[in-house]
Amino acid sequence: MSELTQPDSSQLSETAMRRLAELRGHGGTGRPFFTSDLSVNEFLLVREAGFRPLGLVLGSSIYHVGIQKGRWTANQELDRLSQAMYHARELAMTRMEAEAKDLGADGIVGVRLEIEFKEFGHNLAEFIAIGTAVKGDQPPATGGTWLNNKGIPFTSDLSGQDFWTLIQSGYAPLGLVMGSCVYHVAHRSAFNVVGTFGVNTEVETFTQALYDARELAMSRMQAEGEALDGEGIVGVQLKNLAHTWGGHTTEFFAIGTAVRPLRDDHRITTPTMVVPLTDR
Amino acid sequence: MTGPHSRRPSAREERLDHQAIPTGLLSVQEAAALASAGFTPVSEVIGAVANTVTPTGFYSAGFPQWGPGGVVGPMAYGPQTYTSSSGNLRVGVPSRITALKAGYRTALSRLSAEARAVRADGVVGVRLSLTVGYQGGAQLWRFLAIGTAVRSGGATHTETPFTTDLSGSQVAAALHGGWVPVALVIAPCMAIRWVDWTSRSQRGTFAANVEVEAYTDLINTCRHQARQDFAVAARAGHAEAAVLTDMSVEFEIDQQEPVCTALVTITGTSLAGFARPGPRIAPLAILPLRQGRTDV
Repeated sequence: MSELTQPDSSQLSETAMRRLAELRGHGGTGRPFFTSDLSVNEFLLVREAGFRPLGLVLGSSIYHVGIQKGRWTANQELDRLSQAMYHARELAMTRMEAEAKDLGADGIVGVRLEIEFKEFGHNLAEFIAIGTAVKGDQPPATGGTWLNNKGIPFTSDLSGQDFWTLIQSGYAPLGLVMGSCVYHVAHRSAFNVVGTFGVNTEVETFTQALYDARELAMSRMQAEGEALDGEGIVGVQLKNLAHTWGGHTTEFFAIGTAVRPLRDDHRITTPTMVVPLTDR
Repeated sequence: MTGPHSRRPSAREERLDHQAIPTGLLSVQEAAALASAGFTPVSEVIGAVANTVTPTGFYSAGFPQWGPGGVVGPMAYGPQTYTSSSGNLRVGVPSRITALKAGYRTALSRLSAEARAVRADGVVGVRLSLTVGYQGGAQLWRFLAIGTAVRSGGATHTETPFTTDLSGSQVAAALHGGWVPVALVIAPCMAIRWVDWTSRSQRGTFAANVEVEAYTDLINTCRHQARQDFAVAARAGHAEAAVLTDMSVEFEIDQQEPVCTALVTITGTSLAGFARPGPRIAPLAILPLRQGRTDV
């Protein structure tokens, strides 16, 4: 461990305690104050990547999701629900971005997009976007700014660890991109159910429905990435969210971070291998 | 007033005074991480308080109730959100929020007093909890703060130990990065708003896809105020930064009156930067030889 040049441990605690004593004595330094919901490790890594947290930013919207009649026996997208899920998230995201812009941020990292269906009232959900606004100590080494091609702070749902790795390897996030599709999977006819009773077989209508719905969500996300002139989308998660609509209606939600290259080589320091001595 | 521990059970006091071996609630990793930053565990410390509470809401604090005929009432206040904090306080502070603040404050000050008693410099991994029970006709709110007291190996010690809900490993990481925890901060805030006719139609069963403006406004205003309160409280200790560990929202719609209320609680730790001795440690990129896709 000698190459890590750890300071003498008691020296470290001693300096920390002196700072604390000084703080209790005559107060702060007048430096700007910020809050963040990053974990300590993430916070330190974001600093290491050359960004300064400015503050916690969030946007939220309580949305009434309209109702839509779907045919019991049809595989179909419930476009009204898709629109609702998309529009409400967009509202929350825009409000979060506006807060970040007010702080003069270059971007927002560690964005979480959450949906909570409230138990009071019909079809009411809170859509909330929350993240930490950051500002680069310096503009990118290759020139330009950290803002994305629309002139607004970049957003990213990557963790502090992933963000650090991304910047190290010469990529910059552009924006959180998402696609949503609420799909109704057809109920099978009684004839069909009886026909497959006790048989191992594929239920093709179900398979087809899942393919179609995922494809719609993914292609919408991809279209958003292209609108940002991204090179690609990393950290994509494809979620099936049943929400409160019962077994046959599911939201397929794709979310990821569109990235652009900052330079041509994308290498990071060769990682050191470790065999962790923890149980799992 | 005597110290919060004037009624401390003497057996516990005795044990803490004569404790020969360090105890605490740290895992081996946490203890090792803290040792690398020069802190050793002393003992576990707790702060507890049980209060009987009659949790009244905004009505008792001055927010007008719906009158007969619906003329006087929340409507008189217009479509605006009011909170329990001074920023946009117009209707007084509900006893529920006063009880929450007082309970957490007492539990945390008793925790700090125990830490001082064992000559600790800080308390790490503090867990705060509130259990609501019933006794007689009243509610019994039991607040508990429990953590591990740690002491610095250096010569400088502090009169007021720092408190934090960060784990031992996180505290060690922060210290190595040049940040020292200052205090655990918890900021609860309540808000109330009249649900106007527009919003009532927006949430109807047959309403289209639409944002329910009153609810959004309530939640946003309450969260905004709670964040401000949190920042003010964190800054009060002359800290420079704060990391949030929890932000919870309780949302309630009144069954009788056309109003909605929210309670937002923000918990976190304030931090102060210091010039750490020795050369800077750059993060080490590692490749764990583990199976599967696990996060380190």
